[in-house]
Amino acid sequence: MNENSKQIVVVGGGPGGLETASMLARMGFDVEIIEKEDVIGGHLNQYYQLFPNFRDAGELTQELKERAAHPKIKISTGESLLDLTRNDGKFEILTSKRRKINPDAVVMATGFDPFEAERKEEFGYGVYPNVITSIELEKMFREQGKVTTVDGRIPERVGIVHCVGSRDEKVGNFYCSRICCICGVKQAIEIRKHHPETRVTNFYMDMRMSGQYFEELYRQSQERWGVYYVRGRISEAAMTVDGKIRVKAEDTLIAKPVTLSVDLLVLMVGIEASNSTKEFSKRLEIESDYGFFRSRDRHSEDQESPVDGLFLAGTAKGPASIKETLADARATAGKVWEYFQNN
Amino acid sequence: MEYFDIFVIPFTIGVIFLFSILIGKFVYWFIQIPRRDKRLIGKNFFTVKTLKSIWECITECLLHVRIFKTNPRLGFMHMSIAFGWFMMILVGKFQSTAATGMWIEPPHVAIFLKYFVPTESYRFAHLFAAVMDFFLLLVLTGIILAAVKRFRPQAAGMKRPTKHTTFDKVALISLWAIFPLRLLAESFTSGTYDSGSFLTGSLGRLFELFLPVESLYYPAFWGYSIALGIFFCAMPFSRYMHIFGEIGLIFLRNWGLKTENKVEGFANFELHSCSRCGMCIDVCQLSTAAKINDVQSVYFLRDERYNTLSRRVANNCLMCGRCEEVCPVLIKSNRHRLLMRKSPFGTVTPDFSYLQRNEISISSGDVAYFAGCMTHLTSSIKMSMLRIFEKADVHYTFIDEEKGACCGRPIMLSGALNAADDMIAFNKKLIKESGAKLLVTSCPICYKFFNENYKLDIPVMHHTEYINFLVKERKIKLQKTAEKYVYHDPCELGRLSGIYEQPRTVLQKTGILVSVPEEKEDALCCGGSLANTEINYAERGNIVRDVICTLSADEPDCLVTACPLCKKTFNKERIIDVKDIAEVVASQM
Amino acid sequence: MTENNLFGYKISKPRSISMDSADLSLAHEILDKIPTFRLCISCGGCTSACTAGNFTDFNIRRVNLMLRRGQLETLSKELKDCMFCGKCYLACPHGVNTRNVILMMKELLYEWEQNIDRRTEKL
Repeated sequence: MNENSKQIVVVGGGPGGLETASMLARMGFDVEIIEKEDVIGGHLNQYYQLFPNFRDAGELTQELKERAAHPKIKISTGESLLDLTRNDGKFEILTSKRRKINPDAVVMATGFDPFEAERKEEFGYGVYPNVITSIELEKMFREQGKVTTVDGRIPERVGIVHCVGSRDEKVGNFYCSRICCICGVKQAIEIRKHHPETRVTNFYMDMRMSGQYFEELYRQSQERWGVYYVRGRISEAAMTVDGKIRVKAEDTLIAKPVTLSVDLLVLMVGIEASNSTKEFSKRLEIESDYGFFRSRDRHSEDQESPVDGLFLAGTAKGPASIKETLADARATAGKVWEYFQNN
Repeated sequence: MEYFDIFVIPFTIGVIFLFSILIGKFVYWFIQIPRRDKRLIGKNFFTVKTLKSIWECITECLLHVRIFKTNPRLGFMHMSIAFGWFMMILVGKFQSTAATGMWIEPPHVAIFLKYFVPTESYRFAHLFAAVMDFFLLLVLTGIILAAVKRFRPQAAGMKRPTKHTTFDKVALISLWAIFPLRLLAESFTSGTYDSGSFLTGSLGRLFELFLPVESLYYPAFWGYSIALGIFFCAMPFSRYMHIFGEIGLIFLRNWGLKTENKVEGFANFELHSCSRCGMCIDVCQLSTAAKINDVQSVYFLRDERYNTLSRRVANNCLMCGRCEEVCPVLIKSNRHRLLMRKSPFGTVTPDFSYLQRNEISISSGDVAYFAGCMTHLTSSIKMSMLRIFEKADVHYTFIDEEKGACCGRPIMLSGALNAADDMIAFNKKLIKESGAKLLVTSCPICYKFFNENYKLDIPVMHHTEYINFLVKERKIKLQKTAEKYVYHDPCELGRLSGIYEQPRTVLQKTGILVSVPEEKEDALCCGGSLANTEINYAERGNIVRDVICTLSADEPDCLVTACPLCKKTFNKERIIDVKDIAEVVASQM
Repeated sequence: MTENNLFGYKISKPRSISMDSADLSLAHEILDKIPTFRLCISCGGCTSACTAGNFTDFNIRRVNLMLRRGQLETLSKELKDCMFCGKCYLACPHGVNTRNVILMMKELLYEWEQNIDRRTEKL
């Protein structure tokens, strides 16, 4: 096999796409990353610190970008896929810049979109100004280094709502987004770190600390940072006369309704298939779960799609942390290599 | 005995049986009618309402104009059988008088006249024969259509035929047999005596060529009589009871009666007037979108009539009113559903006396705003309304801002007709204390209940009406944009309360309102109806998806509705942006 | 709970619910007839949204759990409070058909109480 003659297109320039491309380039393939946004890095660009070790997100982005700055990698930003078909073992791609590409293999790293919080109207996102999403809180930390309400005050009380758009039949998502629990814990700690006077209360249905060191972080949030936890789902949020947000939940552990007035309500928005993920899983007639690509086999062929030569990486397949996404990207690169050993 | 043969006995037994049962039932139901309603009948008897009823009997029982309007093929089928048969009886009577010279005679003489007077030997005999042949042909056409409809419903413009009971099947088969048998009997007779008109005469001469018609006509008359006898005996217990039930229903309805709190009297007339035409099946979204095919009004009324109603059938209904809208007999089946939703074995009775023990202070205002339970889950509707009040500089008071009670309609819809009394008293007291001169609600369910059951001494408006009023009064000014809307009529506001124009007037001032076939009386139900306690989330999901896809076919920018429950229900699918009319207005004033 | 008997002894009721001997027939009947009832994860969204909860201690989540543990004595009294407004149904993230559960519970508990009355009458 001659790696040099094989060309691979990676769709999506987020962490998953970048890492797949970096690995493939190092294996000797020619890789082109097509990214619809003007910059690469994906959602990672918006993050502040990463759980569970509070690593600076900007630093990781930088590292991934540097790894991808490789002579065998061509990065095309501001360009999206219009069409993708497969004929006689070759792919045909048409881009928004009317470019035709014929790669030997394609990696879909089309990722996720955060759940549109407006759809859970009872939480008041888009209606009450001091209701924000977890992603907006990340940006707030990143851009201003502190947490403020819309009128610039440091909030005295912050409520964190888990499972917004996840595990919710009412928005058609039965699945667990897997990262919001730990993200809620992480953000609660960050708020407490920045503003020790602020009281932070997490409203949760279940705390799912499935990753390595997640449970320890949860413990730390209780022991060291004094984060409050209420086991109960918030049913509605209303604005009080003094501009606070009054949330209603049941404290299921004492079987009584509770109300709490907060200055800032942070919604832990779940992970949904991105529009490109949804569009191409449909167009390529690949079975999908909630719009996410379904791989050939969840165990042994999790990086392959049912289409020969079309590979899947990262959150295009479903909710995953950044750590998992990067590991998956490396696995995908390995599977691409294996594919060309046989073809 | 002249004009008698033993073969008429099955027919005669049938007629006697039918009319005994019929008279018995009618008298029994009439006795059940409460005194108040009887007085109403007395009052309206010698009025134009009675003439109107006679006319309606002609247009509906015989000509089936209403069915014809929605489905011409089906209408023609019903008309040809009903009108044709009626005319055969009527003309047949005159024919037999002409032939026998008697005005009063047993009914079998007219029915089997061809047997007793086989040749055209009386005045106008040829004309009578021709007219009778024409109507026989008309009925036969209808029967053929009916048979085709049974096996290929699409041919009659229907999606699926009604599933029938045993009595119905017996009645149906005997009904289908009656007219072909009459055709054969009369044709064989015509062949034997060389008489008959264009249909029976020609057929008779044709049969004569290869059949021993002389020995066939007598058994054919036997068959004809037996078929009639069976049909008449099965009729009072089958759907064909509607033929007589509807006549009673038309008169009583025009005299002002309706089904109230018990299934008796008028309700029995309604129950027995359903012809099970199945038009309600084709418009029922439970059938078209959720593939639930045994709960529609036709089946519900059938089960109610035969006392075989299950809890599931009674409760599995959106009460959207689409079936009532198309019912050619105008049966108010929703009322029957409500009455039948009581558990036959008893249930824990609700007790809201705790409301009386709750003292809530309410601030005063000119306008009382009642958001409703659901609106508290749609914060944008609530906040938009508050913004509109402020913009229009209205002194309002928010009745259920923190500690609100339910309006009471949902529990009423579950069949507990009087359970809401405590809630009514509670909310009424608050509204009264506020001193408001107008009540505005955001939820159409509340609106309907406040409007019809609260007997408030101030007017009630849904926010669509109120916004329209504010715009008219120039309290708020709207900016028109190029947004393209489709408006979804909530059932409780549209079909059930008749508010169609106000929201449209407002939306025409904020953007471009596109009209769709499924609007106003023909609007779809979002699927979220509180009236249905049986349907599960997956079935609801199918209805929602179907409705959104239908309404967004023209690719509008936004689907506008006026009900928090519709909005919440639509939110499950992300196909299109969904807004309440209050949100649209609040963002464009 | 303890109470003094005639001789001044204290008879204490068991502190725990015996899931071995609990009467789960009602719960199973409802679980069979309304499969979505099985989906409850006790998140409390229903009780939090509850309109009757504005005025009373009515807790539909707890009622549902008590039913599943066979603790039926107090349930019908609690269920009288329900206004049937349907907010719980809209709040439920798992699509439990809460209103039908309540309707059916009311019917079955009524029947169950009648049977108990009949049994005590016989004694």
